[in-house]
Amino acid sequence: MSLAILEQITQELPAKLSGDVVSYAKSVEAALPEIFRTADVRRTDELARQLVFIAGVKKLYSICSSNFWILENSLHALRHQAQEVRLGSLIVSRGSPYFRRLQQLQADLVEILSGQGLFEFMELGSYSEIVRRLSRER
Amino acid sequence: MNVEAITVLLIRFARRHRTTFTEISQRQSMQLELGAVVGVQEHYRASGFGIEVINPPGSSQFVVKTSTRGAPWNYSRIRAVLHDDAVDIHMNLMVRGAHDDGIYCVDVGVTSPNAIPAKNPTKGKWLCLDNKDLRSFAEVKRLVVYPMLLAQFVGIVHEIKPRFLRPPARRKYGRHGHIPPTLIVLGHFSGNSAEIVRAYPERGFQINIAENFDVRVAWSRNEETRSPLYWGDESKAPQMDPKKVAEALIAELAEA
Repeated sequence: MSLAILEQITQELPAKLSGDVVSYAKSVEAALPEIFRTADVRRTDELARQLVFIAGVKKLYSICSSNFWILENSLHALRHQAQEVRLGSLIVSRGSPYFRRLQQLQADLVEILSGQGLFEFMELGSYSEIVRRLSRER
Repeated sequence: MNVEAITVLLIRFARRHRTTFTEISQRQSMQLELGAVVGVQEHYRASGFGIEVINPPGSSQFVVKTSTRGAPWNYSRIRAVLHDDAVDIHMNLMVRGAHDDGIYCVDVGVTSPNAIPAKNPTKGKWLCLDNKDLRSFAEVKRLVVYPMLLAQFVGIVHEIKPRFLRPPARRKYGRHGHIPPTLIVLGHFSGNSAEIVRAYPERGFQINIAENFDVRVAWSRNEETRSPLYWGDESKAPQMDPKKVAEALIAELAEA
């Protein structure tokens, strides 16, 4: 169910990124017994579905976030030595169209996730902790 | 959690940013290689080294070497100097193996200064760096850290810089000095990979695994004494409050 929803969400994405999101969610689905055991939370279908869904969203977030922040931080670190970076045929600076698109992508996703109360899960590395929080919210 | 509402919003989001996602898909490996070389630069800066970026002749841009092809003098390099100690940092560098005539390409190569010609040599063809001139190196992967990835990296160190796999540890390498062979990874430790890494010092392995690299870079950016390749005092950063990290990231985003 959750995997089908994630496939629906990512159908507009390039196959490589869509595959990354769905296969990551599948890997979390495979680890559900261990996650619930570690969290000491009783497994229910609803919690399991939510967790797999969050896993897919986390992967989507990490794709957007890592690409923006790595570029942003690289430009920041190089600011005294070079205003622009050439990556193959692409020239990137803080004002370049590509950089702005990445910035907007990240801002829009953070806004959606914050508005829906999902953002707190994005930076949590432990799925056991996520499932504990989900269980407390019920 | 309203899964239906979130799904609708995310479908709209994916549709609106379809072009950007296509660009990301095509460029994320290159961006990660840029992130890795800058991460190594920032480690040296945090360790007290002076940093000088040397761009190819006639270019004011930082030119990233994104593949094994191309001569190194056509791309930017970084020089790190502390007192009488200096190294050059190169991207996608061809280097001779430690055991035979094999030639390998490391994502980030830390070399003796001027070991790579600054322009096309007039005599003979430049093939690769001599192994003795490679001080250390870093590899970068956009994966989670899993045991076989660690085994693969140890194999690479064995072929290129095996000295880092036997005691005693080299004094000038580590948190406050030159980088030991380092695996930079975007993902987190999975399975029992953290336990494997914890056992490296006991086994005499002087190698560093920098997982969650994007989080590390964000963590180190406002503090020049923090290396993005190390979490600082072990008692602090690995247990960072993820909520605080998220808040810091949002604040930076708003500022940007």
